[in-house]
Amino acid sequence: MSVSTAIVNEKAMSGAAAANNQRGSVSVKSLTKMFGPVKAVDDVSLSIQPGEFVALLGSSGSGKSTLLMMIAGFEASSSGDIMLDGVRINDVPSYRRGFGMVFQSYALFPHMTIAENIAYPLRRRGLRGGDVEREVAKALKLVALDGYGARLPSQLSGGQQQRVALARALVFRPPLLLMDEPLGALDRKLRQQLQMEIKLIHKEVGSTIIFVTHDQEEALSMADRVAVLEGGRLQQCGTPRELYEHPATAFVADFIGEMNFLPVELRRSAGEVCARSADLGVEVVQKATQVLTSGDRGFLAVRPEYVDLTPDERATAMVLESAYTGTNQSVLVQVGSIRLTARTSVSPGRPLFQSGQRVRVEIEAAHTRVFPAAR
Amino acid sequence: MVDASVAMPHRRYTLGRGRLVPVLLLLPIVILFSIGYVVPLAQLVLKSLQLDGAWSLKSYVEIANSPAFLWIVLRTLALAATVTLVCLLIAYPLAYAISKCPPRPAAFLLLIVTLPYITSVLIRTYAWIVLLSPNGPINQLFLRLGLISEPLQMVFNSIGVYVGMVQVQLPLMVFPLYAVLARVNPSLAKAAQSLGSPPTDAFLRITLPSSMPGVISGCTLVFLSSLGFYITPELLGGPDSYLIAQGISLRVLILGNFDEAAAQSSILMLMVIVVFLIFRQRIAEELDDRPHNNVPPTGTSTSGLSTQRPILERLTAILHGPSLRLHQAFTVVRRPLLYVSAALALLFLVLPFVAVIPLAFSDAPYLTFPPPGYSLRWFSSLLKNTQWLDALSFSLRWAGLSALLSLAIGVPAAFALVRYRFPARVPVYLLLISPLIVPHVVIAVSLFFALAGSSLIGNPLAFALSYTIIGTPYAVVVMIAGLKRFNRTLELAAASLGSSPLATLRTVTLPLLLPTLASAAIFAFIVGFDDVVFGLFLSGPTATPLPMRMWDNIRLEISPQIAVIAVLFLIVLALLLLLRLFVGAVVQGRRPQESLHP
Repeated sequence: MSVSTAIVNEKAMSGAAAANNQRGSVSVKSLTKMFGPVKAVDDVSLSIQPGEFVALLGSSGSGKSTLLMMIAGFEASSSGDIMLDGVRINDVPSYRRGFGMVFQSYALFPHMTIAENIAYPLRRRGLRGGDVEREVAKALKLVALDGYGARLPSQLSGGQQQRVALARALVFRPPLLLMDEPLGALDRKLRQQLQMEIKLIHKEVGSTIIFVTHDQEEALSMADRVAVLEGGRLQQCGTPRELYEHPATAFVADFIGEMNFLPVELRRSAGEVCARSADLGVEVVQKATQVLTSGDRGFLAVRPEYVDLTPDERATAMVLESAYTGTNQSVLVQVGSIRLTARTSVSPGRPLFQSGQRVRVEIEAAHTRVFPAAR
Repeated sequence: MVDASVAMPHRRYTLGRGRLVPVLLLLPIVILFSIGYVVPLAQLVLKSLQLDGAWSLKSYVEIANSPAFLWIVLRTLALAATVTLVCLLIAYPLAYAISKCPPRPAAFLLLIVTLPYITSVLIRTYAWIVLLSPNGPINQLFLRLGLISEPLQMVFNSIGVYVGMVQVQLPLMVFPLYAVLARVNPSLAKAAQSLGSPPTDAFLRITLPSSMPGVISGCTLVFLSSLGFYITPELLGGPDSYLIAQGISLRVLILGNFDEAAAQSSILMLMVIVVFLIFRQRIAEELDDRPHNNVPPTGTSTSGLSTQRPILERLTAILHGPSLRLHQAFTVVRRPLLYVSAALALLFLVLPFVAVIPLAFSDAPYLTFPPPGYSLRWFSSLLKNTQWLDALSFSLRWAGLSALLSLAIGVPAAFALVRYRFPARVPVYLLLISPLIVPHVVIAVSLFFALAGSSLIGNPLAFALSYTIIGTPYAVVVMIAGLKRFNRTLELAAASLGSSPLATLRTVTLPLLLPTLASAAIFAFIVGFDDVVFGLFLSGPTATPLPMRMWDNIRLEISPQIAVIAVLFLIVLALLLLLRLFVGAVVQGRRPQESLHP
């Protein structure tokens, strides 16, 4: 079935929630939330296109959940705007915003059957009788739980409960679906399975999705764009590939994937910065950016896959420890006072690196970035 | 960017947002408490400071010069302290054993502890008169075992008072102890054992200190409740064991010495309030969302290690080996000892009921144990006696009405206290629960003085008011516990699905709180239905509640009639519990039951 082409009941959806590809653009402008003196969300601006799947990624206390709660209307903003399709909605109460929401704890009403749970938003919108039954059946089918309508939430597994929560949040065709760590309570295997299902459902219903998670793998694999938050500030928002290959800040570079940060001396000349590491014998020249205008110390960020190792008995660098992971081998190397990780692909016939082995270390300069010392 | 709105305080999503909402929610209860409770008590204190309309401390001077009163005060304090200590010693093993049980047996055992708590104090006291009397079952057992040659006088003296009081107050000690012990992480004691502590040592070093908040709460409750207790000492005690509360009621009801009664009531209230205020931090913590079982480390130095005086350290080192062996030896008897003492405590709690049931079916015209034969004559005599039936219908009607009123004002108040932050939050909470602590005798005397001369003495409305005042704190406490347990995410979910705050209240919050509402109503009803003290002061020819009839019967004739009422009461209680379990089962969707107790 396809929900996006289903005939929308005019009475039910008037003014609220008909989902199509024109509606559901969200933007926040200079949004700030103070808890006492603490800025939980600090001047965040973000613009989301209709139908886009955006993940808010950050560790606990980064402000990602507070940002979501403000968009949902459960937390008042201290300053700034939240816009839906160009209309400011800061003062619209949550129950009139018409957004679907999925919670980490599922939040199914324990005293209602699955069908009644899903019918809840329809009834609140004045839908009655056969219309409710039809929509509930469709929603159950969407999440592959046909026939579960008469059960109580407590009779379902965690994964099933979360699918019901998803059906309940989508049954009234909201232009925007908010998900607050929806898979956090599930085990790894179930999580991966539901990640796929959510992506498929997203394609089918076409709602805009804002998805909060602390799991970078989940964010990178699911979202069209990922917004990384730290200390209440938006660090960077971009496609997964942009984040990985062109991190805007040292935090993003560190947070997304693995990264070596090598201490370097900085020298400046005519719009360029030269970073030099004596231990590694490496010199990298980059365009000076705004953040690199001062200080004579910095860090050279390089991913483990761009650190090349060659066995060399006369080299000063030495393998400390290594971990074999099938296709790759991660190798921890000591070079002078620096420790760094290299990832080398394992090819048949080539021996693995061993602890104590002497190696020559080379950095692929094209894949490095220089960050200032205070990061 | 920084403007005035930035400083807005943290406010969670709530049902209605204005500052006015908590005020409106609290208005009815505050008005009622002011009229029926605060003002009469204030008048009582003022009265004690006046003589013939002029300011005077004469009443207090007279009291201070009366050695008899000082003895009564000392006796009351000694009784309260002893009862508290004995309750702690009996209740701790019981609470500890229950906290070690799996959820279902634990809920059942707590129910057994709750049962006496919500059964009329009169019925329990009556049962102790039967059990402890010279020809009662305990004396008969001792005689048969040859332990004694003639019956022990255990009732109508201080032995009876102590036994009765301990049994009456025991549940008040078990509940807070259990609440704290159930929260203590069981891995902590296991961790201590893995680090080299034998089980008893681990208990002493880890579990016992963690349970101190419960010990303090329980002791405070029992001590305060014992200070002003009236019924049990009056019925089980003799003329040599007078307590303050009895002195006050004697002055009001028999001697008509209102000035001294006012002064003594004020002193009793002052004693209670002082203790209450000392421990108010602990009591007010019930309101907070933070876990409050953190025990601050005591006597630690800057290194973070606990400091001991050198001698003590030496002593500890010397005693280390023997004490370890002692602990190991104790480990063997520890479990049996625990379970035996827990079982004895339970037996002590239910013994009065076991004794009362056969008496109800006695065919003797007077009280004798065991009954010589069995019949339903006392049941039919009750049903034929219009006095009893009138009293019963009076109690049902007015206690029922008061329970509804308690819910009507208590539930909004609980919402305001749990879900809103406002300046007077803790004082308001303490005020609303204070009738749990201020002795009923004092409240009743203050109402008696306030209503004296008006037509309200002997009027059912006076009972409705007083039952509501003493029932509401229970409704508030039960509701606060229920609301704190309530998963607010469900309300957020409802809002995200388009439900307005009122619709959410109707479709989600109240249906899920139905079991809590039922518990609150049951508690509020029982408190009013059981009351004797207000009956003593406010009864009249057209307003005699059932407990007053029972009171007169116990004082004047002690017939098996009371046992019949006890059995009927137990049946009604069982029905109410079943109803509560049923409501819970429907609402909770056939998930494991939680206990009835808040």
